[in-house]
Amino acid sequence: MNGLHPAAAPLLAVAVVAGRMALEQVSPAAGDAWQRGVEVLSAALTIGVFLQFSPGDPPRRPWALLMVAIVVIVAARVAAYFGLVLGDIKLEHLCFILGNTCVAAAVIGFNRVLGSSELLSERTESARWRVIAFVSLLAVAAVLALGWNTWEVFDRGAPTTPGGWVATIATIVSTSCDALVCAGGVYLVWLVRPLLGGSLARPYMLLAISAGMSLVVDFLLTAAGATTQTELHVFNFSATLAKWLGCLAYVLIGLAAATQLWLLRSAGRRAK
Amino acid sequence: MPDFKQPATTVADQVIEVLTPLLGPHTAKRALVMICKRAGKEAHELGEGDLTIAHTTLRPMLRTLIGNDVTMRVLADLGASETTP
Repeated sequence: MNGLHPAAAPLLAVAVVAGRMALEQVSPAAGDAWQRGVEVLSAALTIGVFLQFSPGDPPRRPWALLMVAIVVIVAARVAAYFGLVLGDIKLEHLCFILGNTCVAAAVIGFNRVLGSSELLSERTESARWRVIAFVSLLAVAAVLALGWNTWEVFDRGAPTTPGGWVATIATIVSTSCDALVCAGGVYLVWLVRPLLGGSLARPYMLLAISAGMSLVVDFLLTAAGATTQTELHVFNFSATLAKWLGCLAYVLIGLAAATQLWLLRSAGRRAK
Repeated sequence: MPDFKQPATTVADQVIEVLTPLLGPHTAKRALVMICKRAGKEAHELGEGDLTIAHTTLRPMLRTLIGNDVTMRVLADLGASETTP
């Protein structure tokens, strides 16, 4: 057996988000605590995947970057909980800039590694055109995201303090990185499509869906005037949706790591 | 191109059987095509003596996707001979 049952990941994802929804009925803090638990578990699973690879294994570097990103985001939550600041700059925002940059680098790394495998790269003329179309889409998405985001940020007035500027930069970096990660996720799906039906495709498909969720969350956060999910203090539908989709994005990263971990531990151990 | 319509030999069957759960049916067949190309044989002509070629063909490609340790385990399932990592 080379992986979890294909239905396991979607069922678990739905169950975890439903858990958050149910806990929010008890108290919003309970729902947030549930998600913090999911984030810590996802971080632990990415560490597990990183440790399974040996130095020199091509997939090790992108998994290491993803691990650093999730660990830094967990650190950002801790910083937010304790209200840690450097001057008037929230440590949480600095962590988010680093975390988002690492996620973007990880997705670029996954694309490079998978694209370099002779098994997956059928270098035909039509394939090249599809890549060109993809890169164009990526550019359009990034420009639209940055333009809309910058408009939203400056519409509320330009920042006047270092802390305000860092928050603004964190918002713009987060959205542009998520636009890049989302487009990279689409490319990842294109790369792993020949693997469909095999367990190796699953972690990357889950990561790609998570990337899409993260981008939607970013737009919802910007619309709500928040930089991170922990800054959402209103309870309208948009803010609630941002929290649910944010939870889903982290669950999917955790499931991608769990699926990869399972695959690495079980592949090639056929019953004789 | 290997002829998949004819009854596959044990080695061709083995390659498909070992690689399909990991790589999916499409890429497993593609891997078999690459082994056949390297060996200069049709799929049904592959024999035990071609396992070394299967090993040397698959190893760098699998290593890129799943790392060295898992690759060695997968190739061991294939019955291919061990080589120095």
